[in-house]
Amino acid sequence: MAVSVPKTQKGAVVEKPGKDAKAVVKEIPVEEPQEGEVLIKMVATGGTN
Amino acid sequence: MPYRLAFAEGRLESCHDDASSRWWTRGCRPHCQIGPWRNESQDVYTIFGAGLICRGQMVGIKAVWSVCGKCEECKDGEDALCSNGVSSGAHKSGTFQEYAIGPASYVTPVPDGIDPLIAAPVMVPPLWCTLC
Repeated sequence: MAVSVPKTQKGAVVEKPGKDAKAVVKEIPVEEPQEGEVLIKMVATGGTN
Repeated sequence: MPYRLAFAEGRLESCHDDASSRWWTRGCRPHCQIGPWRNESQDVYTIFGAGLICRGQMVGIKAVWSVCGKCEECKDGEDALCSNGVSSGAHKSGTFQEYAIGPASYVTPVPDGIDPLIAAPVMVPPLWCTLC
């Protein structure tokens, strides 16, 4: 089953963790799953706080 | 400002390393929330929640990315309190990206017909900020 997965993606990266933390959207590599792991295409995400 | 990165719904699209490819060609893999691991003293498998995940199955990554399945908390079914737990968004890259990695044995299958926007917040246990 051929599935096309890009080499890079957009992701929110935290800069300066701590009180001055800022999330910056960057172009980052798509990680390679290791044995026992699965690659998941995100369709929704959320959080609290 | 506290900031939390984590918790996702996703759809398994690809496992593009050799090991995973071989895995998927054998079909569905057994899945359980933790393990199963071998309980040597009782000679039984201890399984907390069982099911199957297959390519294309919608799954969720939880705030707790993975657990050891061996500590007292895990054995008591309190896996969210695993003393060796790995946290999504802090120890592992979170879900504010287009593709995320999850452990096959600890992602949560989402039943068909569930809106991902509804399911996503359910992946948050009242436990840890992953990044705050």
